[in-house]
Amino acid sequence: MSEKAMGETQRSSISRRSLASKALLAGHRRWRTMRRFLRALPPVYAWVALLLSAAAVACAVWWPTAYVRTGQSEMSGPRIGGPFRLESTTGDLVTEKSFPGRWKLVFFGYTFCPDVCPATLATVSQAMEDLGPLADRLQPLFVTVDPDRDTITQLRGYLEHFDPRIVGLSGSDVQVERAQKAFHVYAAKRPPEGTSDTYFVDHSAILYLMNAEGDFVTHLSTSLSGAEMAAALRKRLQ
Amino acid sequence: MKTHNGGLTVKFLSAVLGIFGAITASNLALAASPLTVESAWARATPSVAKTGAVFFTLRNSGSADDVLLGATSDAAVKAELHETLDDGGIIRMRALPNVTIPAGGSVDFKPGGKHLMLIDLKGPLVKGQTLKVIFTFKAAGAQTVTVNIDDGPAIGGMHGMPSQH
Repeated sequence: MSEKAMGETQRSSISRRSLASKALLAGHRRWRTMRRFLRALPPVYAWVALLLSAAAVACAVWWPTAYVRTGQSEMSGPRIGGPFRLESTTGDLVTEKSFPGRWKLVFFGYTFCPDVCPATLATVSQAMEDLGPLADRLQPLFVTVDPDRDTITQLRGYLEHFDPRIVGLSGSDVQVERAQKAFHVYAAKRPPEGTSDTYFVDHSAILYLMNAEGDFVTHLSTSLSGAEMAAALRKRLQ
Repeated sequence: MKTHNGGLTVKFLSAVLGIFGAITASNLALAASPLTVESAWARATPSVAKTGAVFFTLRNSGSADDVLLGATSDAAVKAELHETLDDGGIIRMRALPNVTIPAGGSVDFKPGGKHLMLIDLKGPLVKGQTLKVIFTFKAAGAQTVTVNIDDGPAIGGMHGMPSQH
C-alpha cells in the first residue's frame, strides 16, 4: 500500500470517525432533549415517584404505630402483654414491670374452678420442681378471672396447696379486666343453672411465657404434663 | 323333752336362716348389676376450695343402655354432672342432665372432660382419705362407691389414672 493510499485511508477513517462522533453528538443532544422533555413532565413521573416514596414512608412510620396502638396485626397475631396493675398474694402491687430480670409464666383461672385450674396449678408446681435451680429465673403468676370471689385471702389460701413460688393476682373488676385485655384473655361469667346459685366462669386457659424484658415469647397448653412443661420451659430459660 | 325342744330350736333356726339366706341371695342377684363404676378418684383440694371433682369410668356389661341420672356425696352439699369443653383454648363448663352408658360400652369421666362436680364442699378433700358417692342409674338403681382422694394426673396426660399408692 502506497503512502498516499494510506493517507486516504486515514483521512477517510478520520472523516468516518468525525461523522460517527457527529452522530453520537446528535444522539446525545437528542437524549439531553429527551431528558429535558422528561424533566418537563412532573405530573406523570414525579408524582408516581412521590406517591411511592410517600407510601414507603407511611408503611415505615404509620404501620408500627398502628400495630402498637391496636396491638393487632394480621401478620403477627395479637400482641400479648401490656400494662396492668394488680394486688398480689405476697402483699405487693404487681405490674408488667415487676420481677425485673425474670421470665414470667402468666395464666388465668379461678378458685371455684374444679377441674382445669387446679390441674394446671398442679402441672406448673411439678414443672417448677423439675426445673431445679433454673426455676429461679421464672416467676409463675396466677391471675384470677373471678375477682368477686377470689379475694387475696381466698387466693392465698388456695395457692398454699401448690408450689409456694406461684404468686396469685387479683384486684378490682377494672384492674382484672385490664390484665385480661393485655393478654387477650376471654372471660365470661355464666349464670347459675337450675337451682344452683354457684356460677362458673368460661375463660381462656393458656399459659403465656414472657421473657425477662416482659415480651411475649410463646404460649403453653394446659394439656401438658409437668415434665413436658418443664422441658418446654428449660429450652427457653437456659 | 330336752332333745325334742332342741330339735325344735334347730328347725326354727334353720327356717330363719333359710328365709334370711333367700333374702340375701335375692339381694345379691339384684346387686349383680351390669353397671359398674371403676377406678373412681377425686382430686385433692386446697383447704379453702369450695368445689371438687370426681373422676371414674362407667361400664355397662348388660345388653340394654342405662342412664346415669345423678349422684350425691357425703363430702359436699351438692353434686352435679359436668363437662369441660375446650373451645379453642377457652374452657367452658356445662352441666349434663344425664349421661347414657351404651349396652356393652363405657363412658370415661376424666380430667379435662366429664366429671362429677362437688359443690360446696363440707371440708377439703385430703389426699389419702376417701369419700362416698351414691350414683343413681335409671335401670340399675343406686350404687354406693368409695372414692379415693389423690393428686390427679395432668389434663390429657399420658396416665388415665392417678398413681396407685
